[in-house]
Amino acid sequence: MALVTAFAILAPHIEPHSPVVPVGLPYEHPFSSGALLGTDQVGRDILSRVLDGMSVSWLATLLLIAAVGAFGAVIGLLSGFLGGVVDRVLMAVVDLFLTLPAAILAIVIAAVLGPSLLHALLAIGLLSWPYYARLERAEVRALMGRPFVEAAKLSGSGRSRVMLWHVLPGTWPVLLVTLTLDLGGTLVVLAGLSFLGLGRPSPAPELGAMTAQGLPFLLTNWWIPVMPAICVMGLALVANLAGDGLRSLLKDQ
Amino acid sequence: MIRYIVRRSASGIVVLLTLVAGLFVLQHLSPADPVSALVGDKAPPAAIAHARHQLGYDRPLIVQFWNYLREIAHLNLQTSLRTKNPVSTDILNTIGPTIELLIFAMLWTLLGGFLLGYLTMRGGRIAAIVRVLMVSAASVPPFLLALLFIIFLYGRLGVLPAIGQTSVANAPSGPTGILVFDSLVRGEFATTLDALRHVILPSITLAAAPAVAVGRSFSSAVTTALRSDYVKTARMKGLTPRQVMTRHLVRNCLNSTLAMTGLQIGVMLAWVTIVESIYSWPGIGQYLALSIAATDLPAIVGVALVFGAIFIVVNTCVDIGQALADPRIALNR
Repeated sequence: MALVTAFAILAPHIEPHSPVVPVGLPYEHPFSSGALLGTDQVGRDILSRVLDGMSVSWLATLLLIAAVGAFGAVIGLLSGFLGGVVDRVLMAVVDLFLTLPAAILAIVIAAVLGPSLLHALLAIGLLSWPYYARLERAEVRALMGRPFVEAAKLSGSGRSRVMLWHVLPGTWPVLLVTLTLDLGGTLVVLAGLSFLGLGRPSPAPELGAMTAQGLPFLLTNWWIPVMPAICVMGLALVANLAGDGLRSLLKDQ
Repeated sequence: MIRYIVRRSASGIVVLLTLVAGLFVLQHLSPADPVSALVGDKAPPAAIAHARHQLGYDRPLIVQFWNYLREIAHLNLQTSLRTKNPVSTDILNTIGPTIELLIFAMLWTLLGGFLLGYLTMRGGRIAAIVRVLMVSAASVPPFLLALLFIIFLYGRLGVLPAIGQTSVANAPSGPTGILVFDSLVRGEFATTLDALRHVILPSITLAAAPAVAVGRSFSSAVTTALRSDYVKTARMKGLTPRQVMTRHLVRNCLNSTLAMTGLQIGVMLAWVTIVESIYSWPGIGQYLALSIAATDLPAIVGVALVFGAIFIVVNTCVDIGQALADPRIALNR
């Protein structure tokens, strides 16, 4: 994961060509004449475009997951720690969100706001924080009954101190594993929105959009739509394997 | 039990109303002005004002929302900017093929889910291989699967058709739009066969990811149940592993798995947009994709409403079904 992130940050510097300006003849095969993954319908270098798209998707997804996780954690922590009316109101909102068809609404929100990467991220984020709020609340509730929290309370620590110093750190592992596990899925959903034309507006390269635009050439020049789609899979696979590894690490402890 | 059913249905209706309200607000947040989209940007201001008044866009938001709800109750969903038809007509014309696709995808999901779940919980080498396969399958975006299917099974090998609902000229177009059903009713068995061959690739594409999710949920339910007391009791009674499995385990694990399947319908309804447009399947998904490309807001919101309603109704039914099968659920909440 760290390796991929480093790659993503460096990607703009290692691209052999510009991702938006044509470099040669259109429809060049992979491994031919200077273009490692071939060129697309107007002669742009697919490798450069794919690298740029991967870098943007990966960093955007990381940021999104971090932001959504943090927001969900704050809501869950408040809800679980304070209990009472705050808990009931917050959880009613969360439950309502959880019963809505998130994936469909993400499409609509992104479509209504208009095509841009920020809007796509906003649409996904708006609908995914309640999962983490629920999770964090459950974790907080489980920890609240543990002796060390009681001890901290009895030793005279203030409420906010107990909440931030004693309860919050204990909930990190589960939250972190879940966030990592969801990284891959979020990447694929983002690529799906981009496929529908709801990501970065063209000509900026984005993996989903590249696949959609390459679709007419599928049977004659397969690499144009397939290469970016494979890259989505590669990124999602790295994220999923990392999530799985983290989860088994947590189980062993 | 009846109290539970009433309560669950009521909360389903609340969610549905929230969905409608959310969509209403979204449509009003949109930067696109529906009035100038209808009469054209270059219309004189007086004409725009007149149209605005006629369409009711100059009234208070609450009144507009009330009218919006009334229209929806009469199954009236505005007019599409792209096709110039009422959105409800467009949706009725395209819903048949989508239902056909979803029914087959659902079959694959259940079949594949239980098979995958069964294979992973048996343990041993096969389980390890299946588990790795499932992690990789969860990373495959549906559109990549569709591309590979089309390249290899349609392009290279030519074993299965990949475009549209049928290749039979003047295939029956009514009454339901579910071609497999329509052609059977009319006794055109050759068309039925052709329709079945056409539905295979898109439905498998749609079912792959949900099947993995269902398989995971099933196998984790079984592994948890294996450690429970009732399974130990059943074993100690001297039942064979097969009997324990069929009589006690599978039944008890069915509930959570079905709930997972209900949730997966939401995922399917979202991906159906992409899958249908790749396979040129003449359903709502393709209609939605085309509407998105044309920023046809009334159509997008209309389809979202229909999809959302399907999702909410299905999941309400799944919950009630679960409570009927396992009355403890009705008492718990």
